[in-house]
Amino acid sequence: MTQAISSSSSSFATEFAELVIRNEASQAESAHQEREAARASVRENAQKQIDALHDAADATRSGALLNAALTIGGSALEIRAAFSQYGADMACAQMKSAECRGDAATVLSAGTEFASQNRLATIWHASGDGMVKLAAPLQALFGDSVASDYQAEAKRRETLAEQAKWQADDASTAIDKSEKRGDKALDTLQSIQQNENSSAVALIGRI
Amino acid sequence: MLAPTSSASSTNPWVSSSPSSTDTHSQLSGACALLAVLVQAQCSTQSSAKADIEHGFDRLDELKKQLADSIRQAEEAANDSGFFGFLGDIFGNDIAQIAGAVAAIAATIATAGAASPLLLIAISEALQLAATVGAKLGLDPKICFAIGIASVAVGFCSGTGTAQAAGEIADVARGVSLGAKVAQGGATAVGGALHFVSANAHARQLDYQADAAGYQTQDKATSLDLDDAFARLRRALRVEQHETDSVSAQLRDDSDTNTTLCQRI
Repeated sequence: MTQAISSSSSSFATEFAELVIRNEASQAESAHQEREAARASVRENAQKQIDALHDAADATRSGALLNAALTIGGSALEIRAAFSQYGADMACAQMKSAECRGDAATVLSAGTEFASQNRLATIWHASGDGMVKLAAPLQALFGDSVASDYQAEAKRRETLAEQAKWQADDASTAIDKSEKRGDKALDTLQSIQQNENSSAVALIGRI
Repeated sequence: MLAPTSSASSTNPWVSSSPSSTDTHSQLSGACALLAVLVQAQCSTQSSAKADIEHGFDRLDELKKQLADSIRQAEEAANDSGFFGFLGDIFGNDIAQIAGAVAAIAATIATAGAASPLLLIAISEALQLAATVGAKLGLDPKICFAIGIASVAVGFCSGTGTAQAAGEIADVARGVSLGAKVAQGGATAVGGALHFVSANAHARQLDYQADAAGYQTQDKATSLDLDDAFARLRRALRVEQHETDSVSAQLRDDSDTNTTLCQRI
């Protein structure tokens, strides 16, 4: 009724308000999409961060297992070398005793035993010592360094997730602002219509 | 405001049947019906948002408990790692080094034991030479005589019986050396195993820390969802109020216009 009287004057305000509202609705929709994308990025990066941390734990465990296997195996070889060395020492003592007695046959057999046991002791000792000494570097190479790589990847993913969270916060702020501007446009439109109604009523009263 | 204008219509409660002002009442009822539909839609949105908020708070409580459990288990794993690492250091370093030192000393004794008769002969010869040279250099004859007696005594001690005793000592020392080397190897192995247990506990700690990070992430996501639900509820309430005000203002304007027109007619 009132719009019929002041249709020409209200059309511009209505169209302008509609334009503003559509613009704000479009911006809000865009911000919604940005926020959803940012949240998806947060979830994805956080999941990859967690996976990287678990991988780091697995690498640490694998390195420790390698270290323990080499240390225990090397120690077993060292023990075996100690027994061989004991046998070699006893054979050596027996050989010297036989030398003093002039027992050539015993000297020969003890010498053979000494050579054999001494060779075995050397081999076992070298192998065991090498394994024990390699344990720590191999753990660092295959365990700790890999774990450090995974830790760095987890840190990178954490940073990316944090950045995505900031983007989500920015998008939320943009959504709030768009909604507030849309509400303000609606209020303005309502105010314009009220003013036009008041004018129409006043005009009717003057007729 | 949502009350029907007339109870005459049984099919549509918002439509008035008054014959004198049918047009006005139909406008009023239409606006009120539209308002009712809008408010109903906002109420549905509010209910959905409230349900999401309640679910979000329940989820937050659950996540806090899981996070606390993960942190507690990570602390326990860290304690285990430290304890077994300490034991591993004791076995792998301290005990193994002590055993290694014992083995080295025993090996030295065994070697020196085999050579002890030669050492004793060498000492006897040295004392005899010292007595001779000392007398020529003007040393007290009594001292030179005492050195000579000592030389003879040492020469007696370097006999066959002493060599046999030294051989027995060498055998014992070899046994001690073997035992010490076995103890060293065993301690090193036990230390390695304890270090593995320690590292495994450290890996468990990392796993629990990863779980805790996951729970924290879920907590953040749930907080974001909660914020979203609060925003939707706030928005629904605001829109509902806005729509009510708009329809009320529209009705008031129509009423004022009608009143003015009626007064002018």
